[in-house]
Amino acid sequence: MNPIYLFLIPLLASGLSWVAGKNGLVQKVLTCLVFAGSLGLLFTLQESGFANSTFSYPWIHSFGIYLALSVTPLNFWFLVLTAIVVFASQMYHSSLDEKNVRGDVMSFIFLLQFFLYGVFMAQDLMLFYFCYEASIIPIYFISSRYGSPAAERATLKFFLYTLAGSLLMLLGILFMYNSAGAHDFLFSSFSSDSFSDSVQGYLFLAFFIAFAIKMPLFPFHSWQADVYAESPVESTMLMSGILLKMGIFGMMAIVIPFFPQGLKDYGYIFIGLSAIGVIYGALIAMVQYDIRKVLAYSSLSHVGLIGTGLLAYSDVALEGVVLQMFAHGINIAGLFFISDIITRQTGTRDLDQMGGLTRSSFALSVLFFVFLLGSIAVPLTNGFPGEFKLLMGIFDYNIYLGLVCGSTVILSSVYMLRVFQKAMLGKETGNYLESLQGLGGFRTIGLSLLVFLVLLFGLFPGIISNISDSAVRTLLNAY
Amino acid sequence: MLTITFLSILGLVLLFLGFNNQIRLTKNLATVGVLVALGILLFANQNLLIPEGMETQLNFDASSLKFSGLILGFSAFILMLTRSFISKDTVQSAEFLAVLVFSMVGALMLTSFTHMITLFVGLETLGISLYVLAGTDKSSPSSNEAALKYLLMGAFATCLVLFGMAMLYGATGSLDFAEIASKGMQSVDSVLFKLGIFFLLIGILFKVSAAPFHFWSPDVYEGSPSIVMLYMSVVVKIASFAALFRIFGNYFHNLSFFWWDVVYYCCIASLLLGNLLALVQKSLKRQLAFSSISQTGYLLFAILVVNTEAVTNGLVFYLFAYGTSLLVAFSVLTSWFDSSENIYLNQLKGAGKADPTGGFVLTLAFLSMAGIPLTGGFFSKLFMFAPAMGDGLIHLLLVGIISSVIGAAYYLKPIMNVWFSTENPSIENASSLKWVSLIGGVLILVAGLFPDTISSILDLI
Repeated sequence: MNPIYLFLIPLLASGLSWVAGKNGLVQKVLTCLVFAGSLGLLFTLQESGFANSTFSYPWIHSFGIYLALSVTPLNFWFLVLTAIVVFASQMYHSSLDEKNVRGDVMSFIFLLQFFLYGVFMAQDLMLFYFCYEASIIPIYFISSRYGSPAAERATLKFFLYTLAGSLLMLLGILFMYNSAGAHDFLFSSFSSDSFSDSVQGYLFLAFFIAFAIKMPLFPFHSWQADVYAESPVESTMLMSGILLKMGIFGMMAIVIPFFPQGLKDYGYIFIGLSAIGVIYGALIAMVQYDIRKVLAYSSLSHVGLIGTGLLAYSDVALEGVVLQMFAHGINIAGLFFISDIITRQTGTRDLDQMGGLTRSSFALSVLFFVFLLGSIAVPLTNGFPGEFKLLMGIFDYNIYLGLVCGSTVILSSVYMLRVFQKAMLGKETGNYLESLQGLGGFRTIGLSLLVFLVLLFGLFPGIISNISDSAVRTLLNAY
Repeated sequence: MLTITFLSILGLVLLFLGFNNQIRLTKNLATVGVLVALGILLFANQNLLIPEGMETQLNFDASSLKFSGLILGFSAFILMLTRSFISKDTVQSAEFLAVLVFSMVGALMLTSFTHMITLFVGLETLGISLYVLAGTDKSSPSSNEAALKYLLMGAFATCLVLFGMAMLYGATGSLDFAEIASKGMQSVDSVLFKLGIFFLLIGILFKVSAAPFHFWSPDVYEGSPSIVMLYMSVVVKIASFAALFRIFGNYFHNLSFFWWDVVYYCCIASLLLGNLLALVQKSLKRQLAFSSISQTGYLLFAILVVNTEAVTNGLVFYLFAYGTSLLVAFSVLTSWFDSSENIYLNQLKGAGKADPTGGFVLTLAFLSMAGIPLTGGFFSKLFMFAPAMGDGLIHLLLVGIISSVIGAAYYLKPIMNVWFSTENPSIENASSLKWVSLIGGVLILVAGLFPDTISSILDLI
């Protein structure tokens, strides 16, 4: 099976959904088809042991750029997560309110999926870069156009921040090309032996800063909270669920295999900063009153842990990274999903104005609680195995760092339970809108899929690690 | 030479057509004439028919053909956009078109000179036509002001060029560039020679509006009618840059130790000053004028690196992508606004609702100028950056990416106004000439997805 089909499906869907416009039914059918098609193709490839899973075609001949795509055990779960989060986000949008289905939003989300597939499947640095930077465009337009009035400023900041990071990466790519004396940009033309230790140091800095801005890791996070809070929830789900995974993937696909020495030389600076981010995010999340901002800072904290694991440079930690990035993608998407349902019912994002939602919609609070458990990594939920492995890897790296990061287990339960108490328990405080009874119709499909996955991967984390662990180990042994 | 002769005759014919006052006929004849000139350029040997005594003064080589092709191609498209402007009562249509065509003659000479005299004649033919063009809209005070300012500053720059030429002649006893360059290698210590190169360089940097010699351009661009501003920032930019590239990227390339530092710091100054000043403008025309200074900065990369065929192709691609973006942007803007008025950013508010197609191509154009992927602007930046990285100009590249980020900040402003504003649109949508912008929009996308296709088309010239 050829990965080019997987790559082109969302592009085709993007065109079709532009034509379909406000027709909610067609949009839903398209969403389901793309979801089923993507997963079908992916798992067929996986069944066949990733045989014949590469595609290569010279794209820009004069410059040695190839349209080289491949599905590998390393990018497999990133691709699956993309399909899932995009599905949940689109299901949410297209079933929100029949009158408000927007063809351009749906089309842009498909376009985003196309670029994300490109980033994860790319086997050529320039193709990777091209898709990485192009992916800002659709999300920028959705967020600015349909977000709150403050979104315009926030997303501009996001755009410029990530652009600065990616341009630094572009210089890095050109520098790699020159210092390795390569004639093309294929991953296979480079190896860590191509670069001297000092060159690896510079390249590490260029790429790491680009990816750290995308994730974001402390102290490159200042764009994050506002964008997550002010964007429409469809795009917040995408940004927190899957866009930031581009940074994690870039670290695994480029930084670790090509600049291991740079990572060793400079990694210790950033590993400390990222660990500070874990605590910092958690502490700020505790005192926020905007439900979206609590979740945004919780994401900063969780991603900080993933970042620390990436820099800890051990196989246990990297296995944890894959598990945790998948779990985080599902949990945070689910949490934002629910936070928006709550906001629509209560008409506010302020935690103090909420309360007693359990009484009016019990099912919602149960679902919320499942995501919450996943997010604070209770055993039997998907958050647990990843966080456990991550912490194990970090303890191996440095025990004090491990202790600092370990506190996230307690801190995350503090801020998440605070949200649950304020929103779901207690007295009903306002006149809630009767018309939106929390769950119903198609929206439930997206949400229940996510809940199902929280439990599935909590009970059987081996599904993920069986495929990804070998790939992760090869990354480290390559050096 | 054939093309130059043809265009000169075309200009004269257009002047005489002014008698019968048929604006459409004149305009169509001018457009068709320029297209025919482009055809002649493509299919006839340009070095034929050069009159006796001038053989050593003009030479159409591969790169000058490419620049000339761009100049005539863009001019034809710009002529198609002139209709609403030349229909105004205060504009003498035939004279306007004739002067425009005469200026193309100068532009073509700037791409193909081998001799200082032809360079000077080219500069002046282009320059004097432009002083007239800037003041075409006689009823508008800002247009008059622009013309006067341009004349004064342009004349000053011309003096610098002349001064430099005189010194170079004094140092080497020759007016032929190849000869000067070869003699220059022996006269390394000659102060006269150094000063000559320096003044020539400064004079031409004035013409391409590189910082810190840019002071005239924002006022002139802003005051001129939109269509003239478009012509100046596309065609004139290509022509004067072709001249700079021909002298310093080609003839004097081996003498780079004389001039390299000056260009280097001008490049950095253009990138930073142009972008920072563009950031704070409220008038879109003024913003584009400052951004044009910063684009000059990126173009100067091509002169700073070791000259190879890839660099020339990259430069041509850059000029193509930038020119197309500006053409598209202006074709939309002139269909939305009166061509001789200033355009303010907040006038664009909500325009996407009134004219989604126009808004869409306008967005493409601005994204392309900002160098965002999917548009031609991305690859043009890449083609400028890559050779610079090959030469190890890392500090310059760091300045380049910082200024790209600043650039994105203000190129996004019109896009934000067009799409994200809830206010009601203030534009009246004229539906004419949509197809110029549509063709341009498609070209921007093709250049952004398959740059090889565009390069091979440009290679045909």
